[in-house]
Amino acid sequence: MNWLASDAEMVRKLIAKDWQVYQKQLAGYVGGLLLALGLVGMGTPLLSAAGTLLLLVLLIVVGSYAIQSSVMAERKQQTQPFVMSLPVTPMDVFWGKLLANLAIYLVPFLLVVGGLLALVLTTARPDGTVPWIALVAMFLLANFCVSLCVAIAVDSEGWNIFTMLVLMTLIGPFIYGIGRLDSIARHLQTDQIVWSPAALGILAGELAVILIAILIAGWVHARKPSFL
Amino acid sequence: MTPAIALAGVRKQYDDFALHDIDLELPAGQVMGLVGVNGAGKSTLLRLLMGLVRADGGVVEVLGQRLPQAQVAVKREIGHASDDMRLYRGQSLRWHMDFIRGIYPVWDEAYAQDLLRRFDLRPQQALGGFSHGQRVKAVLLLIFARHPRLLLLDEPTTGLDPVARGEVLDALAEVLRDEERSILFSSHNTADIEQVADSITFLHGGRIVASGDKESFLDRWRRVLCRGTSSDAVRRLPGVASVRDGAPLVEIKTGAFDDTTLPALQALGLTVEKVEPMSLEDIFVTTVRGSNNA
Amino acid sequence: MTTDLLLSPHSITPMYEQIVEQVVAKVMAGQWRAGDLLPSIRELAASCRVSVITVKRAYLELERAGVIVTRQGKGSFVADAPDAAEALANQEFEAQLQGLVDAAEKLGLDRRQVLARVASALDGPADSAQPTPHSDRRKSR
Repeated sequence: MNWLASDAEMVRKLIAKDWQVYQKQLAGYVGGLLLALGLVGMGTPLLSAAGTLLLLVLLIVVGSYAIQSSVMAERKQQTQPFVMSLPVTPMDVFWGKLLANLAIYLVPFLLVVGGLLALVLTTARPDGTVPWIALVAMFLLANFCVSLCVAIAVDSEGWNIFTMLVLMTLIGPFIYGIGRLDSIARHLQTDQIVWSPAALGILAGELAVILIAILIAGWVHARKPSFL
Repeated sequence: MTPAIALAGVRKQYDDFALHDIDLELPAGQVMGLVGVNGAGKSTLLRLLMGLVRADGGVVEVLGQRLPQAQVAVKREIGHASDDMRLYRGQSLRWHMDFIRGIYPVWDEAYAQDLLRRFDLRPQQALGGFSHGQRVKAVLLLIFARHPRLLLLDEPTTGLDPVARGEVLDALAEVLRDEERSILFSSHNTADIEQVADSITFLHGGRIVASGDKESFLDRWRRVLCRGTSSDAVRRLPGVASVRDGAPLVEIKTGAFDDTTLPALQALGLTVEKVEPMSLEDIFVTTVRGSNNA
Repeated sequence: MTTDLLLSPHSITPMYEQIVEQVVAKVMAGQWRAGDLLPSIRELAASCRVSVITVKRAYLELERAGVIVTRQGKGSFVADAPDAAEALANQEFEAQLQGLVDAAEKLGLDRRQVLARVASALDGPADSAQPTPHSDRRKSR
């Protein structure tokens, strides 16, 4: 089966469709994220930490919510037959789901990351945390992408939830782990933005994971003998 | 003209069910009714025709194009509605209409408005608030309003109240006007098929048990009431599907009624009292019961 | 020409027969005259909500009976044969007559009884709707 979408126009319409259907819920989360950002910017270390934690949690929740409502709900609410009755190939639907969910997720994601980076760079906070922020952010993004890809490729709700939970439990250890990495920890309190080879390596690894997840999911989806 | 549907040697295997040796043809401009018990394979057949399921063997051609390869081109010209199809609960019918209109340039807004009125649907209402019947009509509206060349409908009138059923049949009948448009629909309301279909296909246990034009199909079936006693010889007459004893009368239902039937019965000592045609529903039940007992 | 045939899917009579009967009725009543164009098969099918094949069969029967003529590419017209419709109606009458004879045989009525019942039926539907034993006794001898 052809890998690429057969009709870019149709994929665009599918993305717009998902966007419109999940707009309202997204607005609520964005509001929460802005609040959390505000908390981080407040200054006191306690509020800052609380805000960061809230940001983290919300980003994770938004991600899994987007996947839930867009991919899994489509299966549960049986809107899949409707979508498949449109002039689209299953790969069109795959790209539509992937891109739509990425877009839906990237809005709050970029908001948060951009906001955080802006806060760090423009205020008195040590700029050395920038690589740390970037690595954690990319980890969350990779998490989201893997969850999304599994959800699109695998038709089992049980496996989807299992995957999301497992990935979520990895976040804590990851943050702890890179915080202990010498090349990163050394600069956390300084104003120097240092991209050590280790940091760049991890970043590349995260991007690779995203790419591989998409490729595998696409391959699995393309080989399905039935789409309902 | 190329047939609307042409299946040759199609088969599909699932864990607990299989479709075997499906040979089927629907000429353009005709209506075919699909009859069968739940689980006979009607939905699977329709999904094969939509390119949603890849056959394990055989050739599936719809509107002259091979499936599932040409599914996009084919789906531009087909309308498909099935029992398990749902629309987006949080969105209004108008949103769905605009969505479809953006995809299919042939959308007929005037006709859509006409159908809204006839089907008594409120466009601004969210789909989550629609009753079952309203939802079915909404899905059908989205299809009818773009005048597809082929309609594949899985139980379009099932679960509808009699008034709604009439409205849907009216809309279906309007498709008949155009000799290039065809319909394949499955229905438990055999009366619908009896009324509107040009040909009937009977599915049972994943196989086609009978397929042919409606009039000659119905013509072959008769219920004969006789006076006398039944015997094994009567049961063994070709085409006899059911024999019931209600002394002094015997009821015989046969699917091979012709000029030789009555003389054959008389030769076996029965006096023919009454000969009646059978409704499609009666034929359906008789056939299924017969094959279950075989 | 109005295409308002009054068909019922619930009648015992097959649909194609109903169409034949009603076309015959319209011709005999003068509603449809010789040379009038009949609705196209698809038009009639769509407006009466019946399958095309059923209308085709009805038109075939009508043509065979000489009530209508079909000209390739032009459509079907009411035939210029005033007796054709009547002939069909006659066929219907003969079939009903045979039915009467068969039913009478089953009841064991003799010739005189049958004729008497027919006479009272012709006199007025109200009287003969429910033949009472009283009237039977009067008529038999």
